[in-house]
Amino acid sequence: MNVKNNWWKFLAVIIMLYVLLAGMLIPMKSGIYGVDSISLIASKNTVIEVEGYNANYDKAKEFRAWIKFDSSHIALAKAVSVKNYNKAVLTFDLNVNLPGTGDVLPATLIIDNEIDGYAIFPEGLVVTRNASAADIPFKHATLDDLHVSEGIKFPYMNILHETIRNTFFHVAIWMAMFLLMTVALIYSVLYLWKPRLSYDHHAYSFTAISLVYGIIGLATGAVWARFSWGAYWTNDVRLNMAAVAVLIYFAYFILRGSLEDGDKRSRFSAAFNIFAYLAMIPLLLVIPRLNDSLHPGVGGNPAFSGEDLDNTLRMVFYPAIISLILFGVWIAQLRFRVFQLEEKHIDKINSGSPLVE
Amino acid sequence: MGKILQLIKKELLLELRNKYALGSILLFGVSTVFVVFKAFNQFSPMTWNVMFWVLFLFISTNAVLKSFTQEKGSQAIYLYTLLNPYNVIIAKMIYNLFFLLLVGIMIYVLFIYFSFDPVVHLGLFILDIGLVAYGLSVIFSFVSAIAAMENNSSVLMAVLGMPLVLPVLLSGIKISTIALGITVDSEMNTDLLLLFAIDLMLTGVVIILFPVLWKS
Amino acid sequence: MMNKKLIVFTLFVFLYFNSLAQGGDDFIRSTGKIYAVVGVILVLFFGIVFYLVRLDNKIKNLENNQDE
Repeated sequence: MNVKNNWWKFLAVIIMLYVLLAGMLIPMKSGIYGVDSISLIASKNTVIEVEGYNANYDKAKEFRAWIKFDSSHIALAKAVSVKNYNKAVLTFDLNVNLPGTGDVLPATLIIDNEIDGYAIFPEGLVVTRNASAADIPFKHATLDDLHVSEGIKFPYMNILHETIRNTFFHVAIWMAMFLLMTVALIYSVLYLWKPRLSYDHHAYSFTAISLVYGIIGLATGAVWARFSWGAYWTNDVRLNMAAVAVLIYFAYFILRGSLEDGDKRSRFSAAFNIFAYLAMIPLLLVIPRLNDSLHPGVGGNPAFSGEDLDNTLRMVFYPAIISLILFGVWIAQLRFRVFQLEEKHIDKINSGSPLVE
Repeated sequence: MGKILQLIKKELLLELRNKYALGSILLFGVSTVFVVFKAFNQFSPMTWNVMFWVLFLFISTNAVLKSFTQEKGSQAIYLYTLLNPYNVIIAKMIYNLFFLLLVGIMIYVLFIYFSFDPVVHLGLFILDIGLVAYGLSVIFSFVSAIAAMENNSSVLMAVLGMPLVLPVLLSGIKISTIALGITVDSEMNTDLLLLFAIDLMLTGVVIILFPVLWKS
Repeated sequence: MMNKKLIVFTLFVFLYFNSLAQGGDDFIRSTGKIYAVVGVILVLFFGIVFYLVRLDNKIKNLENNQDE
């Protein structure tokens, strides 16, 4: 293999290796895996046992914990006893006037130590109010000197846990699919502009690999969903829209299969490809935003957007997309060369011995 | 503009001349609605909503299918060499739009006749039928132009068309749940605007792409 | 031939995952669901390999035809 012309194939392999190594080896930040009971009853000694993930509670010297009701009502734990490396028992004095009006209120647990950094259990607790303590004022503590763990680490999120690493594979393959479909679209437009057979073959090759990516995207999504949401297929909007997009591209291949070779097939499939791509844009981008979704960032799920897709994730996520695109281009080139071989084969028959009609 | 009107008139004449074409759609509608209601016996507004759109989709697929297929033969080819493809597709889309709107209202009337009328906001519901009919007519006009070139066109059209109409249809169902008072949604205007935007975009794409199909 | 084998293989992978997914405190969900990530990577890998095998068969057919 000629290195000079095929440098991008080496690049694809190297980046994929980097993605696999970095994506799997970079540790997670410490987080709160769970608590013994999410519903608390406010009293003088409200006790909660917290289980940590990737935690070093026994080695930490400075262990603090808070329960946050809102930004001006944060209660500091009055006692913390560490049981082992990932378990600690926290005691709060909640026999005070809690904010709000309802009998039960949602609350967030925050813990912090100097080795693991801080960890949040967002809206994970339900506190039942002690009505008799309404006249005891709330002792507000500020969240100060929160520690941040050292080194490169991926953020910890409660539903996702380690599966946040799937961002580099499941999410990246959808992005790569979208870009490869765009390449196919460009070739389809080029064909309509200048009807060259190679444009049509390129369009077909890129559509084929993007359909493969789409099916892989659905399959990886199913595996991930099974272990996060408990079912392979859910009524999730984004999932169903993605399935429809894959169906539309199936139709492209059915159309090609039902027409005979020649200019008409190329022209029709190019036109259908453009139409399908444009019909897909509202599908994938607009409609999922209008509805509730199990996907991160929608309907109370932890979000990837903004600060959450943090720089550590980006460091692996973008290379993953680039690598998958390069692999897609590589495979599309292989498919294209099959077309060229077929063409040569047909030419050979046509110009061959007169015995072959 | 005058050409387009003439073409629409021609479509209408073709439709009327073929008496059993209209009758078959009416019969198809009545019998499916009848079967559905006899099978279900009792209906909640949500089922009403879903059945309405499912029947609308299938009946309109059948109704628009013949859009291009009925114009085979050398006479039609001669006719169309004289015409501008833009006029042809615009006329088709407008004709199909009104035809599907009629089909939608027919199904609505049949539904009221056989069961009950759960619609709370009638104007919104009719507008919704109109927008969905617009989207379906655009997509089916395009797809039937492709499918007309094939012999097994009804199968091909269903295969090509069904996935394409889903975004339009799902938006339509979402709006109609509001019209039926099943859900209360503050973002209704966004939904309507979105559906309209999808329709407009598809119209533009079809108008640009149709001459490509027209050459053959 | 190849396709039949692949279908059987896919079925087995599916059943395997399904059996793993039963119950709450299982192997896949241990250690922060890291095996769900492994599963996703395997699905991705075998998906691409599946397409490459099909491409390989196509090229093999062409080569055989060319020899004749």
